[in-house]
Amino acid sequence: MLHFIGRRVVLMLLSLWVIATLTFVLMKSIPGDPFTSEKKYPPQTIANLKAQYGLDKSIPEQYVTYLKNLVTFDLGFSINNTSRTVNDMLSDGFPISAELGGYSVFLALCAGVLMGSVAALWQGRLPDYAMMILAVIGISVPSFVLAPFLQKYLGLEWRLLPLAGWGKPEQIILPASALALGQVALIARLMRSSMLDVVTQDYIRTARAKGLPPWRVVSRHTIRNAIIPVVTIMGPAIAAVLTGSFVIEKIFSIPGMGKYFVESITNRDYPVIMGTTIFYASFLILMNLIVDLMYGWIDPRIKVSGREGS
Amino acid sequence: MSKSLIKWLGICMALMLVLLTACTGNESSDAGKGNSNLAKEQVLNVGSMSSEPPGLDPLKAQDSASGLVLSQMMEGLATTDTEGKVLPGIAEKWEANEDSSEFTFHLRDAKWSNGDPVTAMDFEYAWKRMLDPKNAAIYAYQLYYLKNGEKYNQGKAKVDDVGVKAVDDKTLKVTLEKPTPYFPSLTAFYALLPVNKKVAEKDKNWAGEASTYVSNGAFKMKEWKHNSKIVLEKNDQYYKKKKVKITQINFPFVADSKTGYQQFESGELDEGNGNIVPSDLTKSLLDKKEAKADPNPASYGIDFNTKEKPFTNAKVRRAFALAIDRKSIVENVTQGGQEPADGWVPWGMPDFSSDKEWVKNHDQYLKPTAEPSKAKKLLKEGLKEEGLDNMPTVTFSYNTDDGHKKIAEALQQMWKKNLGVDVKLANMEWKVFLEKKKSGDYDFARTGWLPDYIDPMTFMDMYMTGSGQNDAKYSNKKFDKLIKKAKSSNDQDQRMKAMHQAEDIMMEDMPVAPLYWYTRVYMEKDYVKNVKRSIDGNVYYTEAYLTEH
Repeated sequence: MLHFIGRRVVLMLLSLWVIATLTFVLMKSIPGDPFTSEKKYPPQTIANLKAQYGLDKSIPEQYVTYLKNLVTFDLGFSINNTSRTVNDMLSDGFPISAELGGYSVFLALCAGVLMGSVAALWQGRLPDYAMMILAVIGISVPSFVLAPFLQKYLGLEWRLLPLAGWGKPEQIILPASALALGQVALIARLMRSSMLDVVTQDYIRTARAKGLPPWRVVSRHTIRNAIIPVVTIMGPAIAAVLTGSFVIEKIFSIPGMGKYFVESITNRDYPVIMGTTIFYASFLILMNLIVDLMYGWIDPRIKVSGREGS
Repeated sequence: MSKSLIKWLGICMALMLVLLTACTGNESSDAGKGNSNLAKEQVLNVGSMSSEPPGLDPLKAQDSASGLVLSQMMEGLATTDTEGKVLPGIAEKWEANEDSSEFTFHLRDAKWSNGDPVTAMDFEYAWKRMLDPKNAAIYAYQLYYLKNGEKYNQGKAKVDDVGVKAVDDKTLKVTLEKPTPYFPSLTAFYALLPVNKKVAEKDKNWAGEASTYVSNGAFKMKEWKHNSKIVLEKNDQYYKKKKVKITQINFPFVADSKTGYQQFESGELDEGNGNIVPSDLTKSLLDKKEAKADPNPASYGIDFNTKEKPFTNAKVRRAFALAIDRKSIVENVTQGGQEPADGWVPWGMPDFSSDKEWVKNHDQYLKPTAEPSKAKKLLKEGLKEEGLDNMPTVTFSYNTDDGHKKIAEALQQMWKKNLGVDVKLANMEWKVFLEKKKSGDYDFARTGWLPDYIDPMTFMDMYMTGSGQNDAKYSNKKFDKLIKKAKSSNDQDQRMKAMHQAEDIMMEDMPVAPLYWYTRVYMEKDYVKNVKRSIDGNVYYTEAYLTEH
């Protein structure tokens, strides 16, 4: 087990280095720089600015500084938000995105597993059709359509919930629901098909033949076996949701970190591009590691091991 | 098999429903009639900012969001009224020497929000700090008017050589490179605002947090919740504090215009600019008078690459310009109250040699509707002059944006219909677009220009030969000569005459085809009174107030 984790950590650092280097190369190869603007400033001003951010040095020199900054976790000030450091931006934004994402993942997981199970247990009957129609709607209605719709009715017409903002508990409900919907649909469909596979297995028949109460068969044997594919997709899904959604955070004026992913690139805000990319990459890799460890816990047949074939 | 499961599911669902409905904040708002009594709560909610202002240190401020907050918090030597007329600010009065190359400003007894007096030293410090090459300020060039300002910024002169000196606490002496009679009006701009020397020297990042921010204007910063909102409150140290009725201004950052609009409808916002007017609702809101549109002295147009065939030919460029139905574009495409442009200098720009505005003082260069037969004739002649039998394939570029896309598609159709030319469209990301235009790697492309200052010159000198702003790569010696003449003269009649002549030439050569002049759309509840909106786009809440509602 420890050996497995050790090996994964080494691999993780290696992938991070590759990602960091690729990001650097891509970042430098898009046309324009942080100071490209419609108004043309005097060349001296631009030269002063480049010197201030170390962009007057050669590309290899910049690459070395950049790696050094990464290792010391100090990416310096954002070029666009002049008074804020990248670390400030991420440490303020991430907890908010993560909170919103956490609620939405929880909601998606509960509702998705529930809907999928119901659909599978009543396969071919009304609940199945109802759930799957909901799932198709969930997959095909993008969150940026659903969100204004929720705002208009629940927020403006009926005045049940606040339209936007962050800080009060009731302000989480609309964005979390809008964010969860697509995931609910995905999980429900996955859960349904995997449940259908499991219910026809011999061990389920055995369990029933032994006289186990039906709810125990479902909860202990069916769901536990059927949830493996769901767990597989949850790793990347959690990483994606917890690091913020550009669209949902924009619509609901939530001060998360979702927008930095997009805006840092349009602004060519180099320190922020590096910060967000590396942060997201490490988080994603970590989530995948956790998922791999979870397999062993959910299904003891899956052995986590460092050495192949042993 | 599943009776108990159903029960379990039922409980779960019921719980979720309860959770969802339990947290409902019910706020009733009754829309009262317009009442002239002052409202008890003078708290204004403004939805004009879409995101965090990039920098509130005058050194770093360079955008409209920062400008909006600074306009409420800071005051320079002079201020301007809504028409751009200069009024005394922190400087009570000033005098110039004979040729307006030296100014002496006399400061009034004003205080910073922390109680420190505002001294001449704070101005000297702020301006020198702006010019310090190490600080790399974007707007340093706004201080190139000062003697040795440019040289110091380029590292070619010493800081003591810069022409600004605090004679004593209340007297600031300014020496300029050359006579500049309008210099006091420049001191209202945010690059020339003072900075509290004591505070800024102690903490380099003083402008980054509400707790360290010190201002000298009508309001001071109460809270800056990063990425979420800025809250200003009345500054009790302000010398005109009796005139300030608003006690608090909330600037929540509203990134999505539809959200902002709904917040305005629900009463969470009292006012806001175009940031809370969704583009697809603009027309109906303007028709219903819910939104208002002020002229904005800015122009939208098409840059032709005059170094790329067939747009090397003025007749071909004119043909493309004449084939455009401008009226139809503003009425059917942009729908925000814009005005079809008949010249490059936009509406709202003053003509300092007359009482009328600039655009009323010249011939109509372009008709609002298309002139197909004239356009076709010009195109034929132009192509012949260039030795071309057929119109080569040309591509119209624009930066990726729904609004620009709609305009480009309308233009494409007009050129097909009125000129018989098939034009390809290409869209690209903003900075890629800027790089391509700058390097001359395009046929023709959209352009938009907002004024740097309120004078027609800001729309003219950009098309001088070799200007960094001249993406059309246009070059005409006669035009250059007239602009230089206007620049070197201090006589307004002569300046304006030369610039009118220059615009005549420019509209004949058509390196840029004007399409329309912009508007500034905003929404404001009827109980919000006395907000000042100046022609250069600044909004001041200094003397605003709310009536009962």
